[in-house]
Amino acid sequence: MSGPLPQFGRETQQFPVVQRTSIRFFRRVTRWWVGLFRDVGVRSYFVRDIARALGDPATYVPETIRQMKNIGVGSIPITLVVAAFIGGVIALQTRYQLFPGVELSIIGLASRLMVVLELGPLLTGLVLTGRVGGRMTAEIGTMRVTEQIDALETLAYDPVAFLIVPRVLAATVMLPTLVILADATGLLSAYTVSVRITDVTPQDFITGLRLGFGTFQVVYSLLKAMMFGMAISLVCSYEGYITEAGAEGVGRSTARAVVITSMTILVLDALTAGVLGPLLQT
Amino acid sequence: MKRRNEVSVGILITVAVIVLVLGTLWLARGKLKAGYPLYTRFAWGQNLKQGQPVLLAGVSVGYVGDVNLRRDGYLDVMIRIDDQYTVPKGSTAAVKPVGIFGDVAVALTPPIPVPAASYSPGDTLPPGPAASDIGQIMNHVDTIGATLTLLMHSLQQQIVEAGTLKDINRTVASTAALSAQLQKVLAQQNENLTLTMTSFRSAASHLSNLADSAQIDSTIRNLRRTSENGARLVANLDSTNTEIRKLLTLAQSGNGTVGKFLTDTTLYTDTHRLLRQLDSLVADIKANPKKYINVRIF
Repeated sequence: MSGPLPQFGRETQQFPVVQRTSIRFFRRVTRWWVGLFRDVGVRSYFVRDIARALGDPATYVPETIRQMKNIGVGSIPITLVVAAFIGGVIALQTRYQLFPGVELSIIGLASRLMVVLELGPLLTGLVLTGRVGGRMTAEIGTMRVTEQIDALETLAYDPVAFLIVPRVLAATVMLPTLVILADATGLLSAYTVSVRITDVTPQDFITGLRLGFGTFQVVYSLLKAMMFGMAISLVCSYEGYITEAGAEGVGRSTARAVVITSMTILVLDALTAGVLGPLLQT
Repeated sequence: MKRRNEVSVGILITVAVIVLVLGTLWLARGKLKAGYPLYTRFAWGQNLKQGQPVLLAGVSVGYVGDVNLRRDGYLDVMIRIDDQYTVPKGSTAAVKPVGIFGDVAVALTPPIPVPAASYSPGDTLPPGPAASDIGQIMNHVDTIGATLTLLMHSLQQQIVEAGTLKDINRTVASTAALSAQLQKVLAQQNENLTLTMTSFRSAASHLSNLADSAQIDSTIRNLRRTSENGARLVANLDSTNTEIRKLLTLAQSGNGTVGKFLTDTTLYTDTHRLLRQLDSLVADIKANPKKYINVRIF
């Protein structure tokens, strides 16, 4: 799917010296744009292959369950630990930054807004990028460089249906599941820290926790989690699928997958806040 | 292995769904049971939404179940009251701000005295007088602002335009000049005081030097010696006085030569007689010198 970019026209060295710098610059810009469009096109084909493979449930359903266990059940401890610490720290920081006279119920409100709307999905996504995404890229990349994927094709197996679709489905379902638990753990941790360590009363915290709550806040959190799950599985699977050049290529693909996925999650987070944020005010 | 995977994934998803549903219900309602419905109606613009608390005499007894917008300027509001609470007949409902974040609650105010009868599920509560909200408070603040503006205008007229400010400026300038003069006098006095203090310090220093010298030491030693001599002299005088008193006592008693001399008159009589005889002898010698003086030379 990937390979060296095609060369256009004459070599730069064949032009007069005075024209070479500008020609080199324009060629570089053109190549960058061509490369970008080609990447978009290749990834679109990849998504098309996934959509096409969804019509073959017999191939991907058994593997999907296994992937759901790996991604979901296997990630519970790290997700809960991160959420517990984040909830506690939010509660502590909010309490210590309050100036005198402000109602202490704001700690419950701030904890809920930060955990449910932002940090719950975001941190779960970033943590799973490292734990799940890196593993996905390494697994698929190793299969690519050891020609196991080619063997699957030889055996008339659709490698996308067998390797990619289960991971995408599992991540898309499991991320929201983990985010629900992360949100609950974060809020529980914030409550415990507020009531045990600071002067906030349980009634204060619960009043703030329920203040201005709307069901859409939970929907927003789960929607983000679904998008993050999809981003992790798509980016990491693709980077593994196009791995080249042996073990070194697997390492490079894994690193690139983690970086691209992290950036994608942050961009998606910002886009979601921009597009769906106004709806949270209702 | 495959069966175990399915079970663990199923447990995880079930737990997550239960947490999601119960958590959302609890956050929205404050409890999991729905309670019984009551209805009321408010004017538009109350910032009401589903899930906001319902307070009976300040105690949370339920939540707002539904808000329907009517075209005639009113909102139909369904509130749900916990089964354990009853709302006394005649209670009124009003929208009340809660906290500083613009959130509101429906406040139910029972009549006084509280009647025994209560509203039944599905009854409609009459709306009561609206509590002060942020808008009304802001109106009060606006009124205060307008009053302050008028006050500032009056001050402008009275102080700036009537020339009072110039007078105040002049007074301040005079006070500043007076202050400068006082400063000068104070500076002069301060200088004198400094000189006096310098002299005093110098004198004190001299005294200190003297106190340290050996002269003072020897003088004090001499004075001590003189004082000791004086004490001895006084003691001697005292003993002499005692001896004299003893002598006088003896003399007055008439014993001894001195006593007899002082007390016995015989010596005086004899002496007087002797003097008289000497007088007569001298007179006789003067009258008859040759009787007593016979001078022969060869």
